[in-house]
Amino acid sequence: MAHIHLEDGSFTLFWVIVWWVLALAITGAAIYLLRSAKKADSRRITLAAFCTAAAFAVFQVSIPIAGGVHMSLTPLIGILTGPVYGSLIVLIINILSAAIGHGGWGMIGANMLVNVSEVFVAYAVWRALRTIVPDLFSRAGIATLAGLLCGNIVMIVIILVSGVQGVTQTPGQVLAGLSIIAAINMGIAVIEALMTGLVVSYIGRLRPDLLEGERK
Amino acid sequence: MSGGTGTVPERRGRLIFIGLVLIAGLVALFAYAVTGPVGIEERFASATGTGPHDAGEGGSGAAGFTLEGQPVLYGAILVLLILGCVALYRKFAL
Repeated sequence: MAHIHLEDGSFTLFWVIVWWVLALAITGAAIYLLRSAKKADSRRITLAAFCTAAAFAVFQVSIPIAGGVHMSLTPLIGILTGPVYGSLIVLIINILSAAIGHGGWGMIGANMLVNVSEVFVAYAVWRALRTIVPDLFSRAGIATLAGLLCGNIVMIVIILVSGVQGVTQTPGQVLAGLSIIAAINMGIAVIEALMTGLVVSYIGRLRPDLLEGERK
Repeated sequence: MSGGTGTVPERRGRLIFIGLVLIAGLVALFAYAVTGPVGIEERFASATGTGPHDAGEGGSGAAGFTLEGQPVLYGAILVLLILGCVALYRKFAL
């Protein structure tokens, strides 16, 4: 999991707008791709709806490990629905999360970029390893770890580029602190990788047609 | 997990996964040993220098803004978002 747990006002308005514009550009591209498809994939839309509900719920559950963390399920979203639906799902999750006070409104754009990177990388690794790692559990686990590592890197880059208002920390100190957060997040990513691996291997046994890249 | 036959590519995949899990786990344990059991908000506050008391409130710089703790503004933005979503849904329904 990677999520920028800073409140509104931490970034300047300029950077809030920059991250929002980038996030909306991705959203626009995703909507354009969906609308340009000849026929809507009703099965995947249903899957996307289930993923949205499940991921939103998981997002809000604080797991009492290392002082309290939460998972995101973004790699599972990427594997099950692909990057186009996944981009829209993470936007909805971040808006709903902000609506109940989990992350600021101004952080939605930045957090969507973090989560989209997780979805994209997990999906790409999942597809790329198809012939190299046929075992669904291992492939989903590796894709999850890669996606969440990327999400943590994007999170650090966004915070370092934006800067945090009203603090005296040097960029080096912020980088060191965020690196610690990323390291702990990767420990939680192990749990998420095991969970994603189990879910994907279970779906793969029962309904392999539901897995992105496994459809015959 | 997917078949349990233990072919070479499957074993290779599991070895890679186990290796990544061990690396991530060790790195996380090391980081945890440095920080101790601290909540995620406090971790962020410590990393960015916002301090424990500012962790939930953010700054108020010249170009910044504050919504935290203002339910009316939250409600207004939420209503605007809902209206926007309804409008977008009506126009672009798949």
